[in-house]
Amino acid sequence: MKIERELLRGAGPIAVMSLLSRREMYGYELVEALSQRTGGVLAMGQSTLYPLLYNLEAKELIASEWREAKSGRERRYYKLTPKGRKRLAADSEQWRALAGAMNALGLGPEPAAFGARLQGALA
Amino acid sequence: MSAPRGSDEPAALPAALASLVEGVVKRTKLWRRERADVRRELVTHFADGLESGASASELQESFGDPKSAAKLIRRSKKRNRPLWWRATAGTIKAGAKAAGAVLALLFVGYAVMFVLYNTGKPNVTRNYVAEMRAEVDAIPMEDRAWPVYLRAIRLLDGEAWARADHEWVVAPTRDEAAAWLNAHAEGIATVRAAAAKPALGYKFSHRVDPELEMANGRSVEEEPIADDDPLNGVVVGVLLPYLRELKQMAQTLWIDARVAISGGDGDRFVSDVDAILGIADQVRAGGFLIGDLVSISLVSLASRTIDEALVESASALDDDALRRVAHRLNAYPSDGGPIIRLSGERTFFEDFLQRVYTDDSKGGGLPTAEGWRLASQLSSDPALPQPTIGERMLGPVTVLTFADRRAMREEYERLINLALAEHATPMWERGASRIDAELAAMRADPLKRMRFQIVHSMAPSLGAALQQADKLAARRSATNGAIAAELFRRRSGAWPDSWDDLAPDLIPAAPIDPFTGRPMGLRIVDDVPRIYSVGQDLDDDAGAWVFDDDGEVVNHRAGDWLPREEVERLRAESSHEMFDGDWVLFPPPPREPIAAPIEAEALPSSQ
Repeated sequence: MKIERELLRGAGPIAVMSLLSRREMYGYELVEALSQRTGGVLAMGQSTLYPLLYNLEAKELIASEWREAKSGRERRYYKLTPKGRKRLAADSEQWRALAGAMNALGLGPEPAAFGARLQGALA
Repeated sequence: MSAPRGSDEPAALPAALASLVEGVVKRTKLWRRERADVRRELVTHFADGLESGASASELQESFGDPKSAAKLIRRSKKRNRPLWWRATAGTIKAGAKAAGAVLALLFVGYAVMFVLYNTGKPNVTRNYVAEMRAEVDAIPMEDRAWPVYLRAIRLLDGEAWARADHEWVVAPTRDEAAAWLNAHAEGIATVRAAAAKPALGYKFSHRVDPELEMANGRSVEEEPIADDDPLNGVVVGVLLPYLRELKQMAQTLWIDARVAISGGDGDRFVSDVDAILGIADQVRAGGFLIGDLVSISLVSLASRTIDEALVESASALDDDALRRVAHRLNAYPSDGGPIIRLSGERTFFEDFLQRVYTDDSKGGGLPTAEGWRLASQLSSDPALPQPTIGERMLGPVTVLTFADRRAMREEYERLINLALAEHATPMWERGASRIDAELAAMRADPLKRMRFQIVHSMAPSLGAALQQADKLAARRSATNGAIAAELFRRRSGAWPDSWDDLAPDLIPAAPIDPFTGRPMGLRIVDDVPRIYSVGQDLDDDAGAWVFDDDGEVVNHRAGDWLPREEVERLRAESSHEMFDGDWVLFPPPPREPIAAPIEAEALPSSQ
């Protein structure tokens, strides 16, 4: 299922920060994780992901570092900053409230699959 | 964070992906280091994808639109630039936006002004020249002086006479002048007859007067101007050739009076003075300031003629003759109004307004293309050429920068009324000329000068003009005082000791010093009464003449008005800019004697 751009604009950063809250990740890894863990709902093209990462970095919510991987190639790893953690906590709370509100309006479980999957991704 | 050295290169990828990376990187138009960072990250990304088993085409497809990717990457990367750069860029961007908005507003405003300026047309509803000509038509032919003057010009040898510029006007010596006057006695008599007419009767026009040209012996190319001439030209372009002609005639009368008095012919002298004053009244036709100023100079000439006669040949004038010239002098101007009226200037201005502005019939209006072309040229040609493209492009700005019709008129009327109020105030109560100060302030303020350009260009040096009228009033009252003194001497055998000897029997009151408001000075110096104003330095110097550095008498300069504050300042600085001495109004300044007195023994005796 394709998500409207406007919805994705709000969900994308929080989803990425959520993934990075567990461990540092590199770009392709993030793409894959977003696609698999959200059942494709938040799958975003690289053309969207990298600008999103650069924006989060500009806001100092994430930081990056070039490092040599086990394969011997160098990769750029992203990780959540303390500031990013605070923001994620605040945004997650809002998303949960939003999902709850949608459920209360009867937009689930089937129509709320998106919300459920998103909740799963954020969990 | 920037990419370390030794990054993977796109060449390590399949051609399609390498091309995709290069295309995106190139499109970002980022700084070189930023591009290298993005390139490295994308190469790594695709290498990771290939390593995970995805095909090049799958990766290419999942990447998304390269154009929008480059655009988003560029935008986000710029947010990572240093603070100083973002601040500068932000400022420039905001400035550019503001400038763009201002430019857009200016363009819209200009477009509106362009339309208003180029589509607006002046509505010339009045033909002032035709109205002035109609007023002349209403004057009975027998009351018009101008046709008689034309006859006099012919009798006085026209052009040759008009060019005369000798010590004795028509000749270099007194005897030659007397001979010339005798030979042209009929012409002089005709001038006197014309001067006795109640109105000038000159029909105003923009064209050279063919009758005057013929009278002056010049060839004539133009046809006489028809009364139904459809031309409605600018009033300011009306020709006033009679001013020069009548001034020349008045000077000829002055010489005739001098010759007459030196020959003991008092009646002829009185007739000449009477005629000079008649001409002075006639040149006021139309109410033009230039006419009023010429008129002032002619009355001053009449006053001087009387003064010279009193000094040089008083005995040639009996008591009755003296009273007649005094009464005639005091009867000026014959219309009983102020010496300076400015009515003609108002006509100039109103005519200009109707040719420059549109007319909303409520007193308002905006400047027009053809109007401002006229204003810039001050042209008398009613058939104006079309404005150039440059003028059409720049002209609309005048809609914004120039006062509208109502404001322009209000400003002009304010200044004119100020001038007239100043004219009605005695000099000693006046202080510095407010009207001149207002005009000077307008000249010094570029915005105001631009806004009221018409007022600025059409308001003459009013303060200086008004001062001429003040000087004339002082000169005339001094001449009255001198006549009264002469009559007193004849009655009592001695010169008066003070004005109390003369007023109120011979004059209503002592002449007033325009600088102080008190009676003028009266002293007997070398057996001649000396009547004087304290002049610009406000000091009574016992009637001492004012000399310049070359020893020449510069009496008239002492009569130039200075505001009291300026006098105090110059005194404190002991400045030579202020003339030390008095403004002597009688007798005339010393010069070469005009002729040996006929009856030397009859000169006024000492008291």
